[in-house]
Amino acid sequence: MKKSKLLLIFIAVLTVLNVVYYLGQWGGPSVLQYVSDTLPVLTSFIAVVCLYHTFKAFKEIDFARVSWVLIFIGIFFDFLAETTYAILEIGFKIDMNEYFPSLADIFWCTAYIPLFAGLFMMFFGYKRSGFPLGKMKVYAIIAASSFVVFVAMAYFLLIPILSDNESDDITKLFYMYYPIADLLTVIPAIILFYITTLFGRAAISLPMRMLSIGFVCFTMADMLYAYLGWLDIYGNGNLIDVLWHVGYLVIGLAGLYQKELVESVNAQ
Amino acid sequence: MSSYTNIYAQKIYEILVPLIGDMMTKGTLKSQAAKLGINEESIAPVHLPALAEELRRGLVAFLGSDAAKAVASKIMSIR
Repeated sequence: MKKSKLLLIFIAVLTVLNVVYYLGQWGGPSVLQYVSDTLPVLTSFIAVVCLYHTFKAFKEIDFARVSWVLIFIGIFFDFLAETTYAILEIGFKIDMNEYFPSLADIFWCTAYIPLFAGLFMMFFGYKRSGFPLGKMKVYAIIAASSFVVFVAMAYFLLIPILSDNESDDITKLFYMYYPIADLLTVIPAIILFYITTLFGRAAISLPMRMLSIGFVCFTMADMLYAYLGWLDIYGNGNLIDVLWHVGYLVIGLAGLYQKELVESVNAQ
Repeated sequence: MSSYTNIYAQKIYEILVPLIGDMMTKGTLKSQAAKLGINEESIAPVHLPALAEELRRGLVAFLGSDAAKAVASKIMSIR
């Protein structure tokens, strides 16, 4: 069985178990904390391994390989962040809801840079390919929607955070960084998703499509987290965690699809 | 799947369609043939190197250089 199929089955099973456990929360708060902190470490690690094998599948250094290397670096920083968070909360018994921002947040914030660069390079590489970009009307809709989302985000999230007198400036900066960085990352992801629709169900479209879905999961989770965290009502076992876990695994799956595509073409 | 009466166009179509899909393959064949001043039904062996090179460049973004070269080699070796 292909590794991508195995991972797809794993994603389905883990997601169901994750949701069921978070709804039931058996074992009490300490078990919940262990599960809540180790699942993102596991899923991000799986994504890192998949992405490592992805860029290794490309023999020459070119746009495609560099794009995937950047995605790998970004997800690796996410893995470092998840691991740091787990060690601080489980190992050092730090209340991470109070200890914000932490070293984990520095890793998370750093991760956005190569992730954005990787997605941008994919789009730029596609633009150079000579294949059609699709309808300009769709790009205009994406731009307009992004503006609307930004305005809504500013109104419901950024301005209230800025106006909050209880948080210090560093805390506010980190609270605002995440949703802004997410929006900047999800825009190229959505553009790439649109581009994949031009190829229908062709093999080439699947890796980028999965990558886009992964980043959309991250963005949704991060925006909900930013809001809940700022209201101080996010805690272990919140169902939005499932979006992060699925996001990591789907990005890993994107990498496996890409690897299998490259290898199958080379083998012919 | 749709087919071309031109054997070279048909074979290029069969190579590309699993990778980039029916619509994109037809569109690409049409546009690349037009660049050579011909239509798809007029593709001849002499056109294959130029077509292969253009398609290779287009596929690099998705497959990387080595896999794109592999596809181009398949197109060049159509008989």
